Amino acid sequence: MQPRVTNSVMTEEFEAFVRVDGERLRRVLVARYGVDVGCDAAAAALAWAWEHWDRLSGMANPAGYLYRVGQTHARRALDRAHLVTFPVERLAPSDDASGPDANLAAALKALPERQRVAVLMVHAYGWTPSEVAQITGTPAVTIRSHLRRGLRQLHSSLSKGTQR
Amino acid sequence: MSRTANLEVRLAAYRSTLDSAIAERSATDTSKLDDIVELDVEPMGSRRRPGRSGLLVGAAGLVIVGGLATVLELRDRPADDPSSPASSMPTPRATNVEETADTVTEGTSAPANTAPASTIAGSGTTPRCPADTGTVPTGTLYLGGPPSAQNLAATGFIFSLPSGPPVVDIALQAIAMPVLGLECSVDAVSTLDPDVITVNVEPPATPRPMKLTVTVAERDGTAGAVAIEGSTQFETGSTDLRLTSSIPDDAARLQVRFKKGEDVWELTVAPTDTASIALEVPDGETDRFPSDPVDWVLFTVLDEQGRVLDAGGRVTGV
Repeated sequence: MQPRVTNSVMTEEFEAFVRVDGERLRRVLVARYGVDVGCDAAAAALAWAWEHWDRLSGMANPAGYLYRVGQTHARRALDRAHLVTFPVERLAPSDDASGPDANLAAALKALPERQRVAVLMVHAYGWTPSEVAQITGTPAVTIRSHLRRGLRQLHSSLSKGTQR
Repeated sequence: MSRTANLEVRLAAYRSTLDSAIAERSATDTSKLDDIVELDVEPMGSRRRPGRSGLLVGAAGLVIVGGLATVLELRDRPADDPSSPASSMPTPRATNVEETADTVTEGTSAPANTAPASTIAGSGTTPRCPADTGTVPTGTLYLGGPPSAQNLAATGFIFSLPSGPPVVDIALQAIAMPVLGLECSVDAVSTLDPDVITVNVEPPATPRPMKLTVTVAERDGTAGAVAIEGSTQFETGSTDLRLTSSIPDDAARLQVRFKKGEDVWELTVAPTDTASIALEVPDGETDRFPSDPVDWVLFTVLDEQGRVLDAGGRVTGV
């Protein structure tokens, strides 16, 4: 590893990147791996980005590359028995008769990772399938397919939960 | 309306829940030191004087590095070293400025960590070494994140001079461990460029939320920590330590260190056996200073992974 002396221009570029793409990266990794592992993976990816900024800044899709870096970190974390976690849904006061509803979090957790990314990024965060496709390096048509199947499965899971 | 229309509305509303959880989780993230390990440095008001703020900043920094140096030292001790039994360990030592700086700049490395791990590798700039010395006096190292004065955890840590009462050196491993964790090894190597040190942390640091209040005072003209307070209430006597409340549920063991005469001793206690912990030299060891009082005591509450959950302790006679 070559030591490196930082400079202010590099720092500003990196910080600008983190402000925009860092947050996008965190959300998509959380969508895929849950809050705990996803946040850790995003932090690790950004740390990697800082260390390799010279290389990364010249890439066409640095956020997409960092998504892969984050995936590597997340898989290691999952191998070490870290859990995929999603917060319990907060209900509106009018719906709050039965207290917090854990069904959505559980149903999301049960979805396949790629379907979960598509569902959460499109319907929770309002991304287009093309935007999801860009950061995940997956064709948009595949994202749409994951989205359809993910929604269907989520609906099915929640319906079963309601009927119980 | 499609079958999933209500679900889509529900997912859109879930965004705020998810963002809150991310924000909460990120509070222990690498970019917000204050939320990782919050240091409330409380100077003794009556002793405050102009120029004190810089001193306190330095003290906060040395707290962190004192801890880091301790981590390095602990990791450097081979597991089969007969001088380092798990339950008791005489550690007469004085971590002074030169020792700590050498530890870092000359690359005294930790033993290989067998945990599956990636490497966060980074380098950082430090002030130039003083002429004719091989040590870096003070500065900031960055482990792969944007520089800031309080950039700790995976993205860096503060590198400063430890000094003051020895409790600083011992106690503030409680600062470093939540950040680095016992399972992390830290490897720092000097380079030909005197301004640059290369640092590796394996596996990447895992920040933990913990708040400690460090009380700083002067003794013999030197500022240092005289008390550390976490959430666990405690009382210290001349011969015992009593934890009176709030031991975290996930505590697996308790480490107690105390200084008697010139020796520092370490005891390991089960968290269920903390009503009154006798500050006595462990069986089989020799108390070289039987008539000396306990100078200071520090406890750290650890979980099963060896991460610090809480800490506290006091220096006596200040």
